Amino acid sequence: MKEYIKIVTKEGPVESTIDVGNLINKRVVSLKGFVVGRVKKVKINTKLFLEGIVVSRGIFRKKLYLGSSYFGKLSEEAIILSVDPFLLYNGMKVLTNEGEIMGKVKDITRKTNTNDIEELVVKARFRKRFNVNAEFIKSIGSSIILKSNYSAPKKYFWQRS
Amino acid sequence: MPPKSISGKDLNEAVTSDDILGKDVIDLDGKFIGVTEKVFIHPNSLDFIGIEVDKGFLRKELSIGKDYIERIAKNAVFLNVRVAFEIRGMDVFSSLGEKIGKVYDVELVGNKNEIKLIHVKTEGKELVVPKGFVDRIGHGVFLNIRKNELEIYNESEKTTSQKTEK
Repeated sequence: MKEYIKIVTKEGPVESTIDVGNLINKRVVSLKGFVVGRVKKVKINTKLFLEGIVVSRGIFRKKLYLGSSYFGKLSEEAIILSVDPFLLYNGMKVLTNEGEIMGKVKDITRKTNTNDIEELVVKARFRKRFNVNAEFIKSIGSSIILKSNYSAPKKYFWQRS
Repeated sequence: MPPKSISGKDLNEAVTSDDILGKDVIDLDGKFIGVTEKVFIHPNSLDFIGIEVDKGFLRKELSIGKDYIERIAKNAVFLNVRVAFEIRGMDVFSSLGEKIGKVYDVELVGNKNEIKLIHVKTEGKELVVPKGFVDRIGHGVFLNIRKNELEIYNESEKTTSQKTEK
């Protein structure tokens, strides 16, 4: 650790800070251990507080801006989030409480720009797209399991909604 | 016409082997494990002991005890655990989020679904992670120690085992 001539008042020790420059290109890992991407930019506000990060997810994918309230742990090696970003649920299988495969997540509606899911848009072969309200989600892991009180619409592609 | 019965019990609520065989097996995390291939019944007590799961072409079958089964639903068998073997291939991260490597083998406590050791392959080396160092498991395995601490632990374990051999 470098020695500095310190000019501080009530700030914490420099040893317990993180060099923001070192965060660039570091991994962003979700709560469950999914690598979301790499840090491209670190954003601070005019009051000098860390507001969020811009995450690159690959060449053809849109960049992600993650607010600091979703940070779990910050180190010079990686940023571990306190959530799994909703984007990770895209393409996940959706199962009923009885284990029937309803389809796959095609789209996600959120409450404003937060990570809180409002509705899932599910699509399966021979079934029209349908929405599943977040209140019917029992668990989200490798797939999404719905609660027993959810009754799936039995619509087929030849039927009109 | 209902079938004749001499069971002395109401079998309407019971499930049959036909209801179990061929069904998807889904773990606590919602992960598809395989398809039920066999149902095990104890020869003396006649109790249901567990199931055997076919995990697919060229993959070994997995037997699962009934204590790990949460319920048998209409379309699937749900487990109340995550199958420990399924962490193979997962990324391993240190407490700081450094990527340590990938899980390539898992040692369990007896025949239980309890992890004893995790073998991790990292940059040509092999590191052993005891259960105590595992913080949580999701899409990846998070440890509660740093990468260098794990390496120091492995080095010291190596020297201890070499000394005991001598």
